[in-house]
Amino acid sequence: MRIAARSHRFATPGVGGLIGLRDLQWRRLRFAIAVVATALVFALGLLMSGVSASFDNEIDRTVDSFHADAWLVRAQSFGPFTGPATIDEGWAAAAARVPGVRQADPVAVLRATTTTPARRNVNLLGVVPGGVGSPAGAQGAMLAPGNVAVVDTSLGLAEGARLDLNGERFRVGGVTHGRTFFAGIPTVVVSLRAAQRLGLNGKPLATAIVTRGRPLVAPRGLAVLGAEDVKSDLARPVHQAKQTIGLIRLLLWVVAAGIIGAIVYLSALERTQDFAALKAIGVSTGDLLAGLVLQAVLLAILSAMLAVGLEQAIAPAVAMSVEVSALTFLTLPLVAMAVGVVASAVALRRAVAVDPALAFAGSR
Amino acid sequence: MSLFCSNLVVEYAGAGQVVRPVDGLSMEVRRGELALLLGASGCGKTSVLSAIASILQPAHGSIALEGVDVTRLSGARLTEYRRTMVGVVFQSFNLVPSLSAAENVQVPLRAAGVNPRRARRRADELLLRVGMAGRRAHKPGSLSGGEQQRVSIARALALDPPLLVADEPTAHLDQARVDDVIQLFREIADEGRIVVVATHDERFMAAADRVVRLTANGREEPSNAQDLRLVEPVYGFRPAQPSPAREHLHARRSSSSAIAAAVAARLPVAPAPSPSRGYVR
Repeated sequence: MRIAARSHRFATPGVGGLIGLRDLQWRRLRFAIAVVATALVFALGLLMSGVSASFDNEIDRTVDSFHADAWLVRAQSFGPFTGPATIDEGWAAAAARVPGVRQADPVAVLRATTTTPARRNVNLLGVVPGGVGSPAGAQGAMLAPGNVAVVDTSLGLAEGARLDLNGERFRVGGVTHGRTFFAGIPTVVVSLRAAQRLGLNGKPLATAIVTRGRPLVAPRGLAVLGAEDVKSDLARPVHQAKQTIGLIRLLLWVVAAGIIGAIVYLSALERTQDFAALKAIGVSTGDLLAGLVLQAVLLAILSAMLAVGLEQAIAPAVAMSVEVSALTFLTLPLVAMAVGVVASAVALRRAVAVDPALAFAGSR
Repeated sequence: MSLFCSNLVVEYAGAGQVVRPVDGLSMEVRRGELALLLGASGCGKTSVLSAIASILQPAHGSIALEGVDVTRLSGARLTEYRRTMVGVVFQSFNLVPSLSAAENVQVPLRAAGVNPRRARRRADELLLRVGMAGRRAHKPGSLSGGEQQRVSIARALALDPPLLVADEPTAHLDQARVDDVIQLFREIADEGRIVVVATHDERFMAAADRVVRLTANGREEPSNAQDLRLVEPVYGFRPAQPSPAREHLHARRSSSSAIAAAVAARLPVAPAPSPSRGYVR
């Protein structure tokens, strides 16, 4: 009985898959170790992505929280956050009269230190209660009476808690989420008067004027910045940190590829005799390669899935904000597959080079 | 259908010199015949087998099966030849350790595009035939040498190839198993296949139709020595059909073309005088 066989090699994807899967089961302990190791690397990559993304997100949240159409800063100043130069708060009244502007209020962007709950730096924002840049609703209104602050949750203080700023006592009147900048430093919002007292010797100064409505002309001595300009300015100090994180993330992908590549190459190395015999009995090189690629891709995808769980477990322990987007989670398996395929290249070369005559090795 | 090897030369290059374990071998094996490549270790038996299986490219000469010169095949046609025309039984079995016995037998079938269900059925049939049906789910590591040998034979027969080559198939077997394996190869040949076995085990001779004896020290022979010496005809008989003449060829490794001429002058076919199978001098 002659067994009918299809001639087209692409019609037979099964044998490579069968051999590859069975080999993974055969070496399951090694495979499991490789999955865990690769998953840790992927998880670190996710954390890096999350930290890097949080830098951008916190900038967006901080700038957007002012609900300002334009920022007026002293001419020649880079921006209100990175190089604040003081201006008289009275300029806000003049700015409010510029065509295109409906409302203008002074703000002060300063630094402060706190000892509650622990010694650390904070970003201090002084705003006109209920004015442009003030927290919305009740939180904004409660700034007016006196030493009340609205703090970011990352500071670790609950509503009603005591807050010491530059040695002056405040009460936490409200808590916000994600209001940080300069790589996770929490923001504390107080009234402009309180901010002037804490950082400007009580002088009636501000560092910027925020407006509703965009001025058609720049008031004398001031420059007009849009929200994107301010975000760009705020991103500059963390640019190098982001670059470094990006490089580390790239290196982590390389390490993951290295682990996968080493495991698959080792597998190919140990199976040289098998490959030779399989070639000798008519298994095509393409089928053998398909089996190896399948191993690499499975290893990468399983690692990616485990990495998502690890990232969720590790992220709360990271001091900085980790914000991994859904898109990153979705693209991770694709990236992992690409890493797997690239990583298996060396093993593929090895498999292609195997001489089927080796199947007869040991006897000539 | 016959297998023709003509003026076959196999060379290995290495360490600045060329070794020629097979030098001018010619032979013919017909359908239904079991041919032995007999000789001591290192005499080139496996090289001849490798060349016949198109795993090794000979330096010179031709190998024709069903009129096709297999030395000229390459790429997909070469893979197709290995897959469908030749079954190989390796000395060390070369079963894939991670696959069960049944899956090992399925490999050539699946590689040829046979659907998995049919491949499983065919594998089960073959394992039943070689007496391994009860061990179909076992991995090679849990099988004895004899059992691995049987699985290896089943794998070689998976696509029902017209040519089966086996390298030292009795090397790892005890006496009882040797008889079984020799019987099995005889049966496989009797089904109409060409079977070529490389062995140094002379117990095989009783079942063989042709014996090609390779000598190990051919290089020391004078260059004008007789290249091929036909010793007395040896007749073997099969119960089911008339047998062609058994040829006992004593081939020395040399570069003479006289081998081909000698093989071409074939011995006459003898009628079967007895239903017994044997090797009669």
